[in-house]
Amino acid sequence: MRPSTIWYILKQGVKNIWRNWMFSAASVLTMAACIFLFGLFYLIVINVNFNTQKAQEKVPITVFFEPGTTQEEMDWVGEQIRARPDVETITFESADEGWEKFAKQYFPEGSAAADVFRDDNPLTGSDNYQVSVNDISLQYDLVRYIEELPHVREVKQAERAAEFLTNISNMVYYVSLIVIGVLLLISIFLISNTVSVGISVRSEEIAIMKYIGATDHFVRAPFVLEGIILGVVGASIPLVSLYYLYQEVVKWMMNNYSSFTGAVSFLSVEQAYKTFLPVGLLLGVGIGLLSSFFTTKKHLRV
Amino acid sequence: MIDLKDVTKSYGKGRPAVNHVNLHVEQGEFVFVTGLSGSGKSTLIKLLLKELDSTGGSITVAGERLETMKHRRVSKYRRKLGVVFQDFRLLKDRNVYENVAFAQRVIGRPTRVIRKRVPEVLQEVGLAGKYKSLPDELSGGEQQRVALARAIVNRPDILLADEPTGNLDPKTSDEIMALLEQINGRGTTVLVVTHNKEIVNAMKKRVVTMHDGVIVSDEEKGEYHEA
Ligand SMILES: Nc1ncnc2c1ncn2[C@@H]1O[C@H](COP(=O)(O)OP(=O)(O)OP(=O)(O)O)[C@@H](O)[C@H]1O
Ligand SMILES: [Mg+2]
Repeated sequence: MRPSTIWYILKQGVKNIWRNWMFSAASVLTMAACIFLFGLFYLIVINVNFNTQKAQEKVPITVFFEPGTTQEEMDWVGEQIRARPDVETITFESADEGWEKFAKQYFPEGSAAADVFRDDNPLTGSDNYQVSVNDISLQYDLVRYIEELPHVREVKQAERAAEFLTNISNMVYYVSLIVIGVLLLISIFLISNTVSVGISVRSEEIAIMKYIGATDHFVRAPFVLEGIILGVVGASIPLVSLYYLYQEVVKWMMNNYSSFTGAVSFLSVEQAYKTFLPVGLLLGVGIGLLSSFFTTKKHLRV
Repeated sequence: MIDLKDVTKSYGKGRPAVNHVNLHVEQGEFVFVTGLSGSGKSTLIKLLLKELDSTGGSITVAGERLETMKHRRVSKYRRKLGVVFQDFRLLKDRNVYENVAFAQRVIGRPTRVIRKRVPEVLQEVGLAGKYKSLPDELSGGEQQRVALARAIVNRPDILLADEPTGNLDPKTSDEIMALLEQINGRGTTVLVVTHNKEIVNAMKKRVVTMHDGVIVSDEEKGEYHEA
């Protein structure tokens, strides 16, 4: 395409937006609201995920053995696991050590329960290895591998905290999917409306272009561009406002809920935007492009 | 240049708007098409523009078969044609220069070419002094000159005109017709639909007369027939 043609299409696209600015503003605002909400959920989800992962990293894989497994056999299994490149650390914990740890945590020194179980360890047979991985994404493969080893009874991964976090993260995820889905439909509808109003306003011009021999692409390009611009502008508003809002909220949480925030950590705004910026922009451009593309396809066939 | 073989176009039930028409126009010819209102003249023009598809027969224009033409090809095909209408169809928000330049931009001509070609054509149609005027600031005759300039700026093989003088007074009509003749003189095939009896009789061109979708007479150096 010639530079002059590109320039022409650009100018027409921008003109379209000005010509029915009320529709344009409505689509931009809906789009902005849509991506703002999306961003809100997105930022919550990635922070929850971030904490889930951290929790999971802290919780090692625990390997239990079949009853009657000898210490030598357990040592052999330990060596097999240690030989894996994805294993960060591996420590052995005997049943006695496990019980001591447990009792210390839940029963005060000298309590009845501590006495009752003193000589009759309820965790008998729970000798185990605690294995941590250097890459959480490889954990699944490692677990599969260990499960196949002889004498291994069970491999436990995440703990309840991690599960809980995962559940929350899933819930937030599904709720946001629904809300975003609805808003997406509204934005698509509004942009598509804006573009078709633009087309009807310019129907005479379009007819003339057709007579002169303009290709479908040439006729459609300004309208598609209009959709893309509306999408980009609609995405920029929440992207910019959330950038500041996010930092403020994190700061506020740190100050006012310091006990809670001790256990939880937040992604920095830069880390969060590493994915949110392209995702948000892509969403805006995508909605704008698709809705205007199909609207023009529907209305511009002569 | 234009060849219609047994062409029929019906919009729905009832008598076709164009009914088994045969017409052959050589390159460089000047042809009037006349006939009563509703006789199918505009339909014929629309068939030639491939704005409509015929429901029977075959149409060949500038070496291209229209019935089998792919949608993608239509825009390229239309660049071989120029067209003007009774109502001028100019872009009201753009001045004379932009209206003509528009036809070149649409087909992707570089700005360098446009700057040279547009003044040339405006000179040709006698509008050299009015580049900056908006359509509403022009008389009907001047507006039709702009439309003509736009139609020929890309040097079409064929110029189609559907009642180009329908909105103009006799003197202005004569001037527009003189322009069409001048364009024809440079080799462009010209087909003019008109009701203007005086002009048809004065110009001594080929006259095709339609009635109820049928060509009822076709005469070299013909006269205007009432029916
Ligand atoms: N889009 C359409 N749908 C249905 N019928 C149509 C359509 N366009 C034209 N017709 C019919 O086709 C016939 C021919 O119409 P056409 O416009 O070709 O006539 P015309 O010779 O150009 O008339 P005029 O001199 O008034 O412009 C008429 O009977 C008209 O009612
Ligand atoms: Mg007509």
